Formats: sequence, C-alpha cells, structure tokens
Amino acid sequence: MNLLRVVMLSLLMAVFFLPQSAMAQTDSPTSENGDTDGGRSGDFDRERDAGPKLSDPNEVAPRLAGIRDHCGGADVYVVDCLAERLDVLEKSMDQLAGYGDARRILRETAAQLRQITQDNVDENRPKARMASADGSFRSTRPLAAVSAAQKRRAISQAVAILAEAETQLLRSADAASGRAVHYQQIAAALGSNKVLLRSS
Amino acid sequence: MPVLAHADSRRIALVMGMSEYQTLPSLDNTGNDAAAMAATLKGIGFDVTLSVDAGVAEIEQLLEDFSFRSEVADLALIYFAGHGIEVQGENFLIPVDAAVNSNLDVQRQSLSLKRLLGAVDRARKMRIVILDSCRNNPLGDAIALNSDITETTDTEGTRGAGGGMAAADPDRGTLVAFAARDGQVALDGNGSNSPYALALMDKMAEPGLEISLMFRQVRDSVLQQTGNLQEPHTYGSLTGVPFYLAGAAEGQVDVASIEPIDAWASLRSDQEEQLLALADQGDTRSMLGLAYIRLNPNEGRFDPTAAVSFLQTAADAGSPEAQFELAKLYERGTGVAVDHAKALALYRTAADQDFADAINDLGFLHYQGGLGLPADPQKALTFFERAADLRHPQAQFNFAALIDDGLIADKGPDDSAHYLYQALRSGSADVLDLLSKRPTMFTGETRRSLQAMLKKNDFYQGSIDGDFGPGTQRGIRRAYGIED
Repeated sequence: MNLLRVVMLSLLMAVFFLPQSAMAQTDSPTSENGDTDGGRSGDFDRERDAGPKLSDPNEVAPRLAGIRDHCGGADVYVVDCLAERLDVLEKSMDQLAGYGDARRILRETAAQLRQITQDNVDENRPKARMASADGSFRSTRPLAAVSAAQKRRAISQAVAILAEAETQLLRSADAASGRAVHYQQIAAALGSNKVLLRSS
Repeated sequence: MPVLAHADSRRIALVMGMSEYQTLPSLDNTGNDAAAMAATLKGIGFDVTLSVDAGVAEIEQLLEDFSFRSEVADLALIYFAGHGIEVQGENFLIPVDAAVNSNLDVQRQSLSLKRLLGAVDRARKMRIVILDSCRNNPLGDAIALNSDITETTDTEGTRGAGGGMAAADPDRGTLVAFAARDGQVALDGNGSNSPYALALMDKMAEPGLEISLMFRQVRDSVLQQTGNLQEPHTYGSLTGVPFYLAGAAEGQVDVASIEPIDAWASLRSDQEEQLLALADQGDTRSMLGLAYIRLNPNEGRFDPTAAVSFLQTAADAGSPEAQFELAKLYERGTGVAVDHAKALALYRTAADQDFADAINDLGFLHYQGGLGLPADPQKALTFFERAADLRHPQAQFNFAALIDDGLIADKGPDDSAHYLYQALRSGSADVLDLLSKRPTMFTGETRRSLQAMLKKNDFYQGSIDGDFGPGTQRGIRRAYGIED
C-alpha cells in the first residue's frame, strides 16, 4: 500500500535532490563503448533483460527506492536514467497480478521522460551508461544527457510528469482496491522552483 | 523485554517535589512521590530531570531549559507534587521558598499552570502536565484575596485549596492530569506515597497500555483505594496519535516512531474492547483509534467502510481530526466514493476549528488548484501563514518557500529563515530532507539568515556565507534534534 508514497518519495526526490556540485557526482558514467573493457559483463547480461522478475508486490517499493539511489546522482543524465529504470521495473512486474494499470502508468511515464530528454538533449555530450560501484546495477541502454542550459527546464518538466504519474497511480489503486494509500504529499509549486508540502 | 530501557531524549520529563516549605506547612510525601516518580519514568526510558525543594528562581531556570529541550522531544511530561492554589480561576503551584500572603504574592512567587503548559508546549507529539498538588490549603484564611475570589475552606490532609484546582483549557494534544476532580480534595495516603502517585507509577510502567486508557485505569484505581472519595481527572484532548508510555508490550510492534495507522493497529484486543466502550460513550479519540485500526490494510481488521462510519460519528460530534481524516478518505475514495465537494467541506470545517493540518492542506489545494478550487496563490498564502503561526511544520516550510519567492510584500529572507528554523525545530522530516539535500531551492540571503539563526542558537559555528557545507548540514540536523 505504500507503493504510491514511495513513488513520490523516491522519484520526485531523485530529481529534486540533484547534487549541488554537478559533475563531481555523476557516478562516473562509463562511455557507451565501455561495456567491452570491463569485467562486469556477466552482471550486465543479467540486468539487460530487466533483472529478476518480481513475484511479490512488496518488492516494488524497494525497487523504487533503488531507482532513487541509482539516478539521484546522475546529474544531466537523471531524466533518462529514471526513464530507463522505470522501463526495467515495469518489465520486471509482468508476473504480478492486478498491476496492469500501474504498469501502464509506469510505461507511459517512462516514455514521457524519454521524450523530455530528447527535447532537451545535449548533442555534444556522449551517451553514457550508469553503473554502481559494486556492480549491482548497470543501465540496460546508453543514457542521453540533457544540456546544462536546459537542465532546469527538463527537471521541472520531469517533476510534473512524475507528479501526474503519482496522481494516476493513486487513483488507480484507490478506485480498484479501496485500499488506504498515501496521496500526494509533496508537489512542485506552480511557477516556482519550490515544492509545497501537504500535512503528514 | 522492556523496549525503552535506555534514556531517550525523545521522551523527557521534569519531576518536581516540594516538601520542606520555608513559610508554609511542610509536606511529608511529596519528596517521596517525586523521587519514586522519577525512578519510574527513568525505568520506562524517559530522560528525567528531578528537582526536590527548589526555589522559584531555580524552577524558572529548569522550566526554561526544559522548554528548549522539549522542542525536539516527541513527549514532554511535567510532574509536580506540592502545594497548589487557585487564584482568580487560575492554578498556581507553590515553590518551597515562596512567602505567600496575598493574591499578588501568589502570582509573583508561584508558577502558574500556564507557565508549565508553556514549558511542554513545543513537544512534537504529546504534552502532559500532572499535578499531584492538593494536600492541604497552606494559606487558609490568611490569604488576602480579591473580593471576587471565593474563600475556600481549610481541609486537613489534602494538597491544596479545598475547592480543588480550576479546570484547565490546554491546547489540543496537551493533557493536564489532576489528582482530584474540581471541588474535591486529594488524599495524602497512609504510606509514604499518595494514592494518586501510587496508581500512576503502577499503570505508567505497564507496557502496551495506551495513554488514554492508562489514565482511565489510574482513575479507577484511585477511586477504589479511596473508597470513591477522590476521583482523578484529566483535561485537554490528546491527538489521535496513540502513545504507549512504557513502550510496546511483548510481541507488540514498537509504536514509538511509527505512523498512527500502524500504532493503533498494534493495540491489544482487550484494549480495543475498552476503546469500543468509550466510543459508545461518545469519546471521539477512541472512535479515531478504531478507525485507524480499520484503515490499516496489513491488518485482519481492515474495513474502510467501518472506518468511515467511526470517523463520520466523530466528525459529527465535532472532532476536527476526524473531520480531517474523513476529508482525506473522500478526496482519495477510500471506503467511500470520491466526493471532492464533501472532502472540501470537511477540510473547511476542521480548519474553522483551527486544525492546522486542514488549514495547511487548504493552502496547498488553493495554491495548486485542487478539489475543484481554482489556483489562487494569494488566497493560499493566508492559509499557509495561519497554519504556520499555529506551528504546523509543513505550513512553516511552505510559507517560508513563498516568502523566499518574494510573494509576501512585507516579509523577507529573515522571515523565511525564521519559519524554516521553526519547521526544523518542530520536527518535520520532509523539511530536514529538503534543507539537507536541496538547499539551493532557497536564495542566498535566506540561506545566510538561516545560518545566522543556527549560530544564534548554538547549533552552528561557521561563517555566514550561504554555503550549506558539512558544518551547516550538521547545524541543521542538530536543530532538528539529531546529534552526530
């Protein structure tokens, strides 16, 4: 039941909490050609097909939290990183019964995030893969960067997309199951770089 | 296994006993009561300050320190055993060095209940003042009261004026517990402790006993011990958040820091029976607890429709918290069909009663345009300001954000920083996160003002440069209540 809350806290926070020092925290995205020179290809192959399938809905929340951790430091790659991770998560949920709506929303959200990256893409910056230091995570496709000049705009668009996804997820879960869920607790303030908080 | 065996700064207590009075009759048992109460509270994990036979100056200092510490505590509790008196409808607790001969002396040399309430006021979740303060009327006929004060008769063997203490009217979420009801006297007891102190110490230490039920059981115990001569009484209203003074019972989830919905669900079934009985008598807090239990989908008792029914009854009886919770259900369509008009009406009814959660959410809905409201930032500001001034943490943050955006004509960076600082002190984890991870959301001027406030309050020693490096981050965490 905390799925939606975690969506909000994980994904919105991932884009809200971009590190202040831009390049220092990009988590060393490896270049697109870097796949071949490392010793992690075994891990990579496993990740490529979206990782292990989820069999328990309770695993969704930790996976979302993982997305926040993986993409939170991705700087100009963050929007595409979220898109890629949401796609992976969505695919890994195909054996969960009753999550069709949630998967559709995740899929559409990922597509919209990809579009934001394309609209603001930095042609001069190489595509890159994200990988965690311990090898537990590696992006399944090269990620595109948004231009530094457009970063703020791209992020505010992404925030709006994620907020909308959150709302949709809430509605689908509530209407379908009548379960008590946490609704939108935090939202980007219209016309501002601030967020506003609801009572908790 | 006692869940909270170590001192925990989230639960703090100030225990005062007044025994050796300099100009008033001494009391035998108050010192014992204070010492025993302090030991009991320590035993259940409170961080206790014990003071016996303090003078008024010392008490003032103790209260000031306690008040500051209570800002980062979940629960602040004051226990006072000594002489007490009511003057002009207000309760005063008398320190050992007071020489009170007149109404004016009392007001100058004693501690008003209001002062004690002020010292616990900023604790984040629960505030409790316990007065075991009638034993006999030390002033008798000697006090020169104003003509509009009714003289009280001297009564041997009690802790205060024969008329008892005046009713208190504390803020929501604050409980004042008196040893006796209005118009009754509190008995000293034959042993070394008063019957009230004995019953309290016994019940307080029982793990898994929810606080409102605990005070009910104390009352029953004192009634029984005193042959129905003394009936302890509580005033004020607890919030819907359940509290277990002695922590969880064995096999129970530790409820100290979890959401109300989970905390209520851990209530033992025998206590749920008691809640049902209290709800039948019209107790709205019990109805809320029963609703929370039924809103927890991880519980066998999950039943949102029944929750709506409990909340509706409590909302109809005027409980703003129930109105707010019910509004959320109508907004989200949990247990009922989505009904935005009804949700909005309930938020407004709760806000009309100064329920800050509802006021802040109305601000949010007006700002963003929700529940059919048009987006109207100016209108939203008045809600955020009102809730912020009721010390609502999220509203304090929201108002600070909009001040920082330059939306409020007569407020600037210092005001924004003031509200941010207050939000941190009131314990909003969201605010801590936002300030830690995304401080540049705020302008450099506001950041510098916040650093200056942190410095003024000894949380930060570095330079005022607007750069939120490790030193400022540590200061922010310390202001929130986390010591690295």
